[in-house]
Amino acid sequence: MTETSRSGLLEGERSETTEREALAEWVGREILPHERDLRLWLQRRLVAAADVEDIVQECYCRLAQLDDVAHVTTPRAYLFTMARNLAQRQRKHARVVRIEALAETFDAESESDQLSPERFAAARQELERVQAALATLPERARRIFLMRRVEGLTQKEIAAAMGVSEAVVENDASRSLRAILKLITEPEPEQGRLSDGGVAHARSR
Amino acid sequence: MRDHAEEAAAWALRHPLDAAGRAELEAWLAQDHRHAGALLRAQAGLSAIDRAVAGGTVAAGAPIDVARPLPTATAPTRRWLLAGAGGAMAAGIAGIVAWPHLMVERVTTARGEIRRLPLADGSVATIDTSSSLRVAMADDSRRIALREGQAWFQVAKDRKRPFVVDAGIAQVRAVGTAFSVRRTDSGVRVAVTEGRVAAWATDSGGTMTILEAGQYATFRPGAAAPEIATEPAAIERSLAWRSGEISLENETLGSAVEQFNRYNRQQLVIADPDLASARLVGLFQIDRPADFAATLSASLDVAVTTTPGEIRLARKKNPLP
Repeated sequence: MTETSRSGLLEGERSETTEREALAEWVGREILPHERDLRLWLQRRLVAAADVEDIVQECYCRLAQLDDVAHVTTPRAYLFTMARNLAQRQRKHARVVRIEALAETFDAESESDQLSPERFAAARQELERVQAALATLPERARRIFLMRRVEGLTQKEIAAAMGVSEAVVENDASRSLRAILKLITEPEPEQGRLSDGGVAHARSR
Repeated sequence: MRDHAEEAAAWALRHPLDAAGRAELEAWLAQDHRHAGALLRAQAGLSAIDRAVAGGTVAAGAPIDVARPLPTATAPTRRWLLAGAGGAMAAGIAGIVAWPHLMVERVTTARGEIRRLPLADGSVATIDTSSSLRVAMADDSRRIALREGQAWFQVAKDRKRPFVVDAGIAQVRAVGTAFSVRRTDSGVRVAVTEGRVAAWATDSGGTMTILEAGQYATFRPGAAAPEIATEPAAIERSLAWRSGEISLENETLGSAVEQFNRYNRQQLVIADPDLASARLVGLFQIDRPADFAATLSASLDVAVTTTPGEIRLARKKNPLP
């Protein structure tokens, strides 16, 4: 709206916050939905579980350093290329070298990553996936996320309004955020794909 | 690796961050270069959740009811006061004034007067007839006390300074949004035209309601929870006064007359009580009760008698053919 009489320092702080928020918003919309596929893809390339985790984390570290994402026209391809480079670098340091296998399959993914109608549909599916994940949360946790949407409402005030301590709000929200991240980014166990006996298999693993 | 995730989630959720909090966050980020990535991922997850929450309903047949009041917890009042002691909400209990650089302004509108009042922060209050409010702009909050009447607020975004309207039995809070508050003896009505606000009964002891654009809440004296309805068109109609109009959509003549009389010295009077329940549709100028009466005379078989202080509406004699 119109100009306010805030000091220059505060303006600077605010624009920095806004930039960070914009990046987080972009990553949440354009990158996060592909993390599950990325993990699956790395797993299939026989990357060890701990290395998959490292590579995924390193991808987010690099994204965090971006000042601007305007040049990223196909975020999924960007993510996969970044992961491929990281995986290759890691292979070079590792004792077992399988570079040729990696190079081949990684390229195949990048090239097939066009903006197909399926990809657009995927964005909607992603929203539904997060909503489904939200539905698994306890009522109190869902209300916390809802109240967070009222801008300017602090954690302390949310706690006061709900009649619980701030620590409860913090724990609930933190646990729920991690649970949702897990639900939307972790590949289902291979056994889970079987129509029958998935549970028994998963237990026996 | 996953241990960063827990701390990152906590940081992503922590808000607002004051100067000390920001310094702490910087220190945490400097500890390990992976922290920045973990934080970004947590923030991204949070933003995905925010979008999903905004989507309104949740899959699997479990809708999030945004208008439902929060379940009241045990002994919330005490906690509320304790937790809010240093915060902006506790100050919503009118009268405590100790703000630095406080700017206070009192505004009263006369009968028939509708005033658009730009506020120092860039917000605009459009004030309805016969209303009285007090505006207090401080460094860390913006508060309006609505003594009587109605106002529609277009709130300039400033998340560091919540915008709180105290309407006696009910309180409303927003940051960058538009909503109206009407205070009468029979209750307080909060209607949201844009964005989202939190509203609560002053002595509800912690029960808060989230209202979305198109929703309104009616707080009655003595009731802990407001009545909620979603009627965007009705809200727009009820705010026709902003452009000096009264918009009727199947409302009773009694209610229409009451509305006109709030704005005009020349009062409309219904002489035959059974006329009051007649239903009307139309858009009228707020300051022209005589035009309204003339329309009634033409369409409802109403006889109009006008004096300087009154316009009497009666049934025409021999209405039967």
